[in-house]
Amino acid sequence: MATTYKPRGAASAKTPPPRDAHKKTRRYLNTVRSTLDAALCLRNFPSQLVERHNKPEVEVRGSKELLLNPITIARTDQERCLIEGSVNSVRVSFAIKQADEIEKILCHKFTRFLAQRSEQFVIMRRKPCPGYSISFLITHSHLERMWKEKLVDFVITFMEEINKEISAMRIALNARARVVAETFLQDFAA
Amino acid sequence: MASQMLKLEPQSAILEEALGARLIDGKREPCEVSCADFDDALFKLVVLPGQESVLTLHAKLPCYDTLLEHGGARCLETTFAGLVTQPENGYDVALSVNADECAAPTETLRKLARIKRHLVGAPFEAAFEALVNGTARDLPVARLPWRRGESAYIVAGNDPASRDSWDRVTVIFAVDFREETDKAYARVFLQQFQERARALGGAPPCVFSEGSRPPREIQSVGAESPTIAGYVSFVIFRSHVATPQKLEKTCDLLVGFRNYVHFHIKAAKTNMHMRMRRKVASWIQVVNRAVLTSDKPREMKTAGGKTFTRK
Amino acid sequence: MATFQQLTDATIGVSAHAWSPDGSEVAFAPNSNELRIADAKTLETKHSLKEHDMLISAIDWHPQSNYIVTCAHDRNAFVWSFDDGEKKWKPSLVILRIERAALDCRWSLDGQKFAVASSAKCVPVCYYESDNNWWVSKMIKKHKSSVLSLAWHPCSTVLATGSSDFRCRVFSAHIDGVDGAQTAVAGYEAKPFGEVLAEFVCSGWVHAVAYSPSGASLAFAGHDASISVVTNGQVQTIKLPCLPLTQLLFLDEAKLIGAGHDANPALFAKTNAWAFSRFLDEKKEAETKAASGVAAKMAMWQAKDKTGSAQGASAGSTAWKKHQGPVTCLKKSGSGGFSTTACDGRLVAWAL
Repeated sequence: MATTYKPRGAASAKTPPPRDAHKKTRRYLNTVRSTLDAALCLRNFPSQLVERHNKPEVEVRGSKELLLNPITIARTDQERCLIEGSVNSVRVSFAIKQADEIEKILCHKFTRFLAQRSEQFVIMRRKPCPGYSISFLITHSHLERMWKEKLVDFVITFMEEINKEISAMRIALNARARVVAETFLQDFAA
Repeated sequence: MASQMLKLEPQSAILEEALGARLIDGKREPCEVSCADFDDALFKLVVLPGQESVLTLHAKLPCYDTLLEHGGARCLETTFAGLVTQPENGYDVALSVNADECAAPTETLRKLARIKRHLVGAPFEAAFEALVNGTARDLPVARLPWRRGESAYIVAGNDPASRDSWDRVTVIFAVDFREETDKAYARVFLQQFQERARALGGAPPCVFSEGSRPPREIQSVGAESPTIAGYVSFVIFRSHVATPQKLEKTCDLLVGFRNYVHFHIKAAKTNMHMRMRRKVASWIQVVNRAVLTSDKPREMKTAGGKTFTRK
Repeated sequence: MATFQQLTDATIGVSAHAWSPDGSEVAFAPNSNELRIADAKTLETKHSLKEHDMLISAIDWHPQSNYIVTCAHDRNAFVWSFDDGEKKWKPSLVILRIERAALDCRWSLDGQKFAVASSAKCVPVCYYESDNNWWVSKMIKKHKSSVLSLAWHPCSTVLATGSSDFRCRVFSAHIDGVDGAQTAVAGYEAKPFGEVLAEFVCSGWVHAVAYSPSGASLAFAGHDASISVVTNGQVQTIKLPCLPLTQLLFLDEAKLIGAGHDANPALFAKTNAWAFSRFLDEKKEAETKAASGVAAKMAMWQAKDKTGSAQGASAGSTAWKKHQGPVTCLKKSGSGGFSTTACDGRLVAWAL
């Protein structure tokens, strides 16, 4: 059922990053933005299965007709975004690029960090969906309390920055290790 | 980063202070000071009432028996000559000095505060002296199990081109961490040691090998578990230990190596943690930008229970 | 032309509203179990009625009888009548016999009946039983998912529903005891109560249905961002230039208003065929109000701390819109105009 949509010109994991990579990132993010804008048309929808309940249908998955086809937007094999819509809630999951062991660790730490702060993040899902690093769950009641446009802004900012931050952290760690090693080794020669 | 901040001193600051007060400043008070150091080392300084001038330092050191075998015994006879006494239960060695009769208090203070550096470093010193004297051929392969799963190895070696040169001593450290994360950090750091050693003239060549592939030199004495983070070997040539000052410095560095790496891995982790925290805080701000806020002045409660509205 | 009033705080929102017959009062639910009846000009609350115990999903005020019907997620509906002596609104419970939330309720034009859309996949059509002095219901079933919206044909015996099973259906809602002898109406065959008279497929959930004043046209809006208008059995579907609509209202036989997720009502007009005409809310040059004084400075610093920007939480590029959130309710108001409420807590009065 899932449709995988690759924005035009999206780089595949095997090819080296092209010179206009930032343009492609922009296109990827814009695709996510417009998909989210459409997916976030939610309504207050009480459960038709359980009396006096109002649960996110995308999580409950009790009635097939209330779920939309999930959409996967992929920039590379590693960087993907899954948007699962329903009548009263949307689940957005990201796969974050993890080029090596350190990035994997940093990503894991980051997501754990975020999960611990899920109260403040409001839309954070405590557990990411299988196959993804991080998931957000947005329900109609979030949209009643938040500007939809700004909420989408946040999701986009987050996507944009988490990859950048993880690679920056890895570079910083290498630089630090270098200085530490150099300082130690210099003393032998002194 | 100031390079001073990066280094760790080889002496125990607590011991230095407690001993210094008595040896140099002439304090005469009974005391019992216990302290710990890296690698599960334990120290206890005892000054008994009635004998306030007699300072006895008990020490528990990692793999003490092995240390004695590889130069430790000689160290006690030379460096600590005349100071050795019977240790208390639970300690390996005790040194005792009478502050009133001490001929060279500054030197004695330095020796005692560096007790761990001297004893743990004894095998290195022995090996390097042999290297300088040209007797490295007779050196046995030393395996010093400092910690469980993390031994240090000292192996004399040859130039591959000339079989009988005996011009080098290879010091190999097995480095391990309990957590996978720490192991990964360690691999990054140790990799850099290898790369920087190649780039820096004068530094001993350094090789990092993964835990599953122990260096050739130690395969005969039995390696550690294949799941450890890895091995780092430093190849020390005569040039690194040519003078007594250089020899001393090289021993300082090697004895402190493991602590140095551990310390910096911890520091790097803290730094990453702070960075993530900052980033997450900035994201929370972005989320807050989306949250609708009330136009009305908020009604607030004072500690006394009165309500007021902020205008 | 449009003016807005802030019914509730933007953080609360309004889930439904309705106008009194003379337009002097407005009844609304501030996104809660409370039914509030307020003066339309001053917005001063005249009555606060808390008979429901969950969110009120719809309010309908009948222009002749002056009865208000409300339904809520607590599975109940109440008919409220005004006691002139006591100057109070009196509730009377309706026996809905549904086990799930009620989502929408509408009076028939003649005020004899009302229908309730429910998550129980059925529609109770309620009428008054004077013998027992209560409102009883007859059930329209046949839906395969929740019923999201309702519209009565002006003849009061035909009812259209929109459901999340991707269908808009037309039912016979003729009840013998109330409506007398059955005749064929509005081009539909005469069928007993609860029978399907017509069924239309949509490729999204049907959020809204509406009949034109004469009953000649039936419109429904789907989640696929389309609306369809049925006239004489001919279906015309229009793809929207905006996000899906959730509310529909015919102003006359040739003008249809839709409102929904874009927070901007759209006008559709019929010349030969139906077509999108324009959005009613138009961007004007923004007026910038320079804030001054200690309070403004303090607000700025608070915003900086919380959000990292001096503006704090603000609508940003959509600030010019009258509504800052999806429209939850669209109702006809006096003198040919109409009004909308949204989860931004605003009541906007529109006039073409």
